[in-house]
Amino acid sequence: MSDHSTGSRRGFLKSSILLGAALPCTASIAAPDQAPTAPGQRGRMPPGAAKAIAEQGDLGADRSDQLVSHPGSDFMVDVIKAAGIRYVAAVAGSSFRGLHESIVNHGGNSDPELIVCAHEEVSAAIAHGYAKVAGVPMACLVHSNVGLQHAAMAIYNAWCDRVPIMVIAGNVLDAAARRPLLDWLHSAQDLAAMVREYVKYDDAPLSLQHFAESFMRAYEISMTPPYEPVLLIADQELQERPVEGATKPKIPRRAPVHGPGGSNEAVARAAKLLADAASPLIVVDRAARSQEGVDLIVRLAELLNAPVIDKGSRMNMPTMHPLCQSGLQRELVPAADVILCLELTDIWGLVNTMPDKPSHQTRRIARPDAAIVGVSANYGYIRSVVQDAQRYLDADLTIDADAQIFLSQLIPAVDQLLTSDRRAMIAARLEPARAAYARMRQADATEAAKGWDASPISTARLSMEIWDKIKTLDWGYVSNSAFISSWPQRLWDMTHHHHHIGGEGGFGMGYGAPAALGAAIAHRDAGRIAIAIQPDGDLLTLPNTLWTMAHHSIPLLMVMHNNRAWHQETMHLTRMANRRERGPTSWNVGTTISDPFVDFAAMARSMGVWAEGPIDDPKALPKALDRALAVVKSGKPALLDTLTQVR
Amino acid sequence: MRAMRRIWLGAALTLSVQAILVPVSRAGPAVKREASIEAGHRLYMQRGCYQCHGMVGQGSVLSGPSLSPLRPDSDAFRRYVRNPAGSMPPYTARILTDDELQRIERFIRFIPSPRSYTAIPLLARTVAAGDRMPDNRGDGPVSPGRAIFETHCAVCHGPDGRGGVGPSLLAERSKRSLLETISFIKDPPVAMVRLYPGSLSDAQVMAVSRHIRGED
Repeated sequence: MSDHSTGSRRGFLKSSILLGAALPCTASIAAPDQAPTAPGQRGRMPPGAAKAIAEQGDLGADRSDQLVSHPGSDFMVDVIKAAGIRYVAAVAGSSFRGLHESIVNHGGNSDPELIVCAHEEVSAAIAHGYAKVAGVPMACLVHSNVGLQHAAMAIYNAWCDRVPIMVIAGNVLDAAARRPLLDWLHSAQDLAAMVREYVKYDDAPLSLQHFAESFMRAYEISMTPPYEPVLLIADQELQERPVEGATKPKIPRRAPVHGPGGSNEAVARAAKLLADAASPLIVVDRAARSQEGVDLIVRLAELLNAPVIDKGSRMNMPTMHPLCQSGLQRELVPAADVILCLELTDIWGLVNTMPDKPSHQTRRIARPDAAIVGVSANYGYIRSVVQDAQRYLDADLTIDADAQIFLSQLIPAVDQLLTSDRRAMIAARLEPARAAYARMRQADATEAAKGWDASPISTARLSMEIWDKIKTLDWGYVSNSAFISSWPQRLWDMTHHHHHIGGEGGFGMGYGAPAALGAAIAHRDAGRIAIAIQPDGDLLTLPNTLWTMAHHSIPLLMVMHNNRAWHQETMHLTRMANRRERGPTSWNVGTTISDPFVDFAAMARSMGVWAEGPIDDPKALPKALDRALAVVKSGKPALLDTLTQVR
Repeated sequence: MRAMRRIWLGAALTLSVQAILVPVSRAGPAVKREASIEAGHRLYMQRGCYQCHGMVGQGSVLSGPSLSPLRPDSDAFRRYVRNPAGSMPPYTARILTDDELQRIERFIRFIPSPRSYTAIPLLARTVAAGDRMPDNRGDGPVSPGRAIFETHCAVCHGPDGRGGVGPSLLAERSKRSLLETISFIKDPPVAMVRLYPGSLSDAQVMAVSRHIRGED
């Protein structure tokens, strides 16, 4: 059939589309059979009724089987709403088209609101960052197979970081329901298998009732320590078929699970060790899940006048507290007789060293007789394929409990054991601790002064110029600071849990920008300003995050830590070449971001984000920060590209 | 031919490293340096010393100690570089000659001493602030909302919100929702000072509203 033949199906379709497009500005449309036919236009006219019937069947026949008035995905949206999910981050994908449409039209695109992304890794990382500030999960909707694979790395980061995400993946399980070609390429027999090693729970519901119950179960599992991502498959047939049967499926209530605490015996043993200790040390990493957790850590530290090392995966300990002595780890670990480790990623690495040498020699740095107490909800939850469990340590007391819950048990138990003599001894620890803290702060400031006027800008200067601008605002720092020498933790006044969200968890590249964006959404909802110091290599992984940021007008101040390299790798390459005594200047091959340099400001502007830079003069920073903050205060994102020292 | 290639690669590397890093060498006012110091600087960058110890020897808690000032004497410095402890890679004579090492050392010792932090207001203020006990007993650091309240609101409503020229705010939480408190501040009655948007931003109105309501 030729495109030009009168009454062809394709010609009819074309005309229909043209008519449809013209409809709004046309008062009336003549019936196809009566339409005037201009010379030379015959091939574009609609077919007559007879031909249309011959091709399409009886046009007057009942077409109600094409309509779905109560699709299952409407019910799914009701379930998502009932769980209190406020946002769904997604890249559009046909395997969840029904759910997508229901979010927009049935749910009114509000609670949950769709956060439009250009990559599923961005969707999952946004949910990761959001949960660390909001304290509740965001949903992340991904396409079958390819979308989930894109999201996989970000899900892994969240899993290592013990962060809840509700991942919902479309899929077409029933082969008979799959459209040819793409539906087969984008369907899986066991979709969750792709990420099962790093989600805490998954299910592929076969009915809407099953979906509702599994959704609530998934939510509660993700929010029971250890918090983790979970995955639910939303089958396309389930989304698109009408709700069937006389009985509408029911949405169960959420049933929050009380997390695991310590046994009476474990609490008593830990309390005795700490009460009797001469030099107790508290080390925290993901211990505080909320401000309550911060307050509990402070209370225990003050009860014992014990210094605290905050490893920084969360904001655990106020940085201005004299017992917050993270910078004194090298002195404190060898001196401690009891070390209480709360939700640490790596206890072995705390009490031992293993320099990056071919010999892999190790050395214990803690006292041989130091009692090591480990508390973590992860002792009872471990996976084999991925090895985030870290090296085994034969601790003296290992307790499978959530640290925040355990602290609420431990503090009264320690308090009860303290005699007046013990309290007097403990009180005497405070002044030396304050002196040590003062020395630490002076040493940090002395280090920060080095390179203060250098260009590119030192990371200490960058951090402090930012601090000077935000300290009177209600703020949240939403990026990892390890790669900028942890200056914010060392010099900023962090007092609240929301002041810092820690890092990637799994150190997967690409986390930084989207997680900062997700955290900024939660901060915006709480009336705060979010600030990220964004590594260049990380932003280069998922630059489309900037578009999402502009599209949703998320107030986030993003200041680049642009050292024009994947800098950690320059060190690794130097290490390798030096060991092999060759290529002493070859370290920059494959490790530096040059030739060409990336113009991050232009990149941001191209996607609708206000931006300035590159800035390499530290004296130009304060005014540039003022301009950027003015944009952020108006409710929009801003990016400052600053050329920085490497660390 | 191979020799030519090596020379080309060497030149390309120098250019490339300098393109990335040369702006970095400015550590303050330009100081005229003798040629051997310049050569030492180039070597310091090209051989990757800066990767761990920073472009101006400032070091990092993540990668390596500061070299400014360089504490070991020349002999100890050279022995350490050849056979270092920790994660530092060894620099044998095959990849770094004695002469090159000497030039690098001269450059490091030439790095100007940094200013004292006490001469940098941003740092001096931070240290001078000293430590604070936490706010979990109510005597801790000042929240942003409280700081705004003390600056703009306390003069009328009293330092603790119990009232003065203006009414008490202690029952604010039971009288209005958070949004209503925010709206009230943004669009105040005639007798009340209008602070928004001139003096307070949206975020600051939110912060002070939460403070008044005891929610910060």
